[in-house]
Amino acid sequence: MNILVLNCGSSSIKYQLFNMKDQSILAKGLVNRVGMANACIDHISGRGPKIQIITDVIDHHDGIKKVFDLLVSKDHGVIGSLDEINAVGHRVVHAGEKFAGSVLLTDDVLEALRECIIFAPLHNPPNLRGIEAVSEYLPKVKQAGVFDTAFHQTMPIKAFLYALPKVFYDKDRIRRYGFHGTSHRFVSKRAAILLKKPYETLKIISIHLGNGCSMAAIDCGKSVDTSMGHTPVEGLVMGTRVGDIDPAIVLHIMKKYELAIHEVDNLLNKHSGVLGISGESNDLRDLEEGWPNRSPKANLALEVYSYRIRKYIGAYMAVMNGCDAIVFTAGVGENSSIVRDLVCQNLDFLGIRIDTSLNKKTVRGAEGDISTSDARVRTLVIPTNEELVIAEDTLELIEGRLDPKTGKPAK
Amino acid sequence: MSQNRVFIIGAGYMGQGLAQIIARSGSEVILIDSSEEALKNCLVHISSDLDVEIARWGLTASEKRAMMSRISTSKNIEDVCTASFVIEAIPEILKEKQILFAHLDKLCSPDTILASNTATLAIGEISRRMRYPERVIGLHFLSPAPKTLVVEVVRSINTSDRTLQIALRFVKMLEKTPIFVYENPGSITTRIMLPMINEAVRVLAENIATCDDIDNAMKIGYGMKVGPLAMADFIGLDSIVVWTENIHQETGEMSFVPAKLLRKMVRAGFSGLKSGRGFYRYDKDGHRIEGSGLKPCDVGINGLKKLNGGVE
Repeated sequence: MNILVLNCGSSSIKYQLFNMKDQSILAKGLVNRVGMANACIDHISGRGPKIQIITDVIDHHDGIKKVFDLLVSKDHGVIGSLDEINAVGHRVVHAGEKFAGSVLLTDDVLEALRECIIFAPLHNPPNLRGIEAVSEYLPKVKQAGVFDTAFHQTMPIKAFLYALPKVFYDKDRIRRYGFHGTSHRFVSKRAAILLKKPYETLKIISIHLGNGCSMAAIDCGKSVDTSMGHTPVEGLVMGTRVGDIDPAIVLHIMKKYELAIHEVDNLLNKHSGVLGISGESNDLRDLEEGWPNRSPKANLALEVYSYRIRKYIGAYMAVMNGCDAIVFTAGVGENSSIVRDLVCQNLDFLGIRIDTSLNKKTVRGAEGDISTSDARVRTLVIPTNEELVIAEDTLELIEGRLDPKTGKPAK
Repeated sequence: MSQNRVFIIGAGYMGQGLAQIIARSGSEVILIDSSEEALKNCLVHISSDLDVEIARWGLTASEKRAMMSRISTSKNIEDVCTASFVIEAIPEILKEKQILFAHLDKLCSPDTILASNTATLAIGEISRRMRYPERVIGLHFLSPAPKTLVVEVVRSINTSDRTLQIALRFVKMLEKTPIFVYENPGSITTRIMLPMINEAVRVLAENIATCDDIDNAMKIGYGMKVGPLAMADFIGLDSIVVWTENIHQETGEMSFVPAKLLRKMVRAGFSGLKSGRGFYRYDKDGHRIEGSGLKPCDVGINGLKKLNGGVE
């Protein structure tokens, strides 16, 4: 059983072909600069080294065709024909309030996802184009959609409603949706396995620190709150995204500097975060190099970044009335012992205490418990694997273990 | 299919703006001009325009690098032989456009789309001597191209449906709103705006109100972002004269006879923003000097002296 996982971004296509018998990766790669004359495809097959192909990729349709060609090609291919792809799973960013789990894609589902374009105008359209392209080339193959927002649909209304005039929710569905759901779900489930306790009995705070950063409070297996909001700009300080701010600041600077909407949009999404504070880099790896001797600005960026995470830990412990474990994941979460240390130091009162040497050791894809033996709350590092979740969900959907329309366990 | 390679003929102010927005949309741009210096200046201006945008948080440095890498230049017009989409942005002179389009007609394959950025000339007239006039269309970008969100898509009696569809898709790719019009000199925007500017100049010449008051009345009264005289300075008074004359020649309408004061000012070198003086005066960075708007007394017999004295 081979499952292809696709993640179509605005100008990129990420793909991974899994053999689900042993969850091994047969091939994976990335098509960059879709829509431009000199697009490039980085491709790694199970047996060969990484290759790079520069070619014309007109659009997502064309890009997916070229991925298929590569997968069956003589030199770099891993399957004899496209018939060996048994199902395709797509990452789709926004499913609004329509889906609380992964589902098999039908015309009705696609229509519902089109209605969500308004919430994610940059992400949903390329996701949908990828699905349409696969339907054309592999009309008989079943496809599944796995949504960033789905896991957080269990939040209670008191957690997701903004204190705006209610008409904005009733009419425009403006509310907290949250993102990175696939990752929060994967690492929290994995945490239960490491803790050897039933998932449904645990209170977990998962901290996804990548390009985008978000946290989730997961109570008895359900997301009850998360830091990203209606868009992925809210919450934690990120590489270039601003996170929580006083919304009146936006009005003030728009007026003072006579900024247009697209300029403010860029300001909040691309010029802020640790890049904005440090003025040096959006990459935490740069900023923590030589810590704490790189520069006062880099230190400040790291301190603001970590402080925000601490605040949310406290908030989510209050939300859940307790916490069994906190989980660090994604690029920064899995690798930055400095950030983890800044976040966890002096949290004895909350039961968090980490072991310095375990913290330093647990990097580069390592998984483990980095807390001291006497800590009441376990601090875990768990590498995320969103592609695998998408492949597993797709498999469970086509085998009938998940309800194809809701994604809930089939009866 | 989207246009991932676009040729622009004419590296003037409009060509520069077009290169910028097309590169921003992710396509490659090849700017063609016979003058090496114009091409060089064009790249310098694009680069400094983007720096201004970065300073206003509208763009990041890496986005700028990516955009600049998509823009190349050439002095050789024969390069268009591989093009699928060409936009002309040369001065608004019928003869020159006709010669250029006849030349492009020979160089390009018959299905290459040839777009003219003309504001005031008839597409049918420009494409008159061509073998394949059905691939010619008007794409009138308002100035400055990176800031204005509307493009008039002008179809002549010869323009094919295919040409129209490709042009409409192109405009949407640039995230602008296409306004579809049938060929007529001045389309919508220029045809309505020129008589307004002309009339504003007459109001000034007839001793009715000052520049500032005329512009403020229209700005505040009708919610316009720029008053008609400031707009004339921005477009260039010499261009306004040429444009009105073009439309007058085609239509015979008296509202397109350039106001006498306009001609007088152009002769005296008051061409607007580009010459540092027009209805207002401008500093070397192109910012309007506060209180510099002409008053009715400045444009009479006494005024001409005063004006010249004021500038030197």
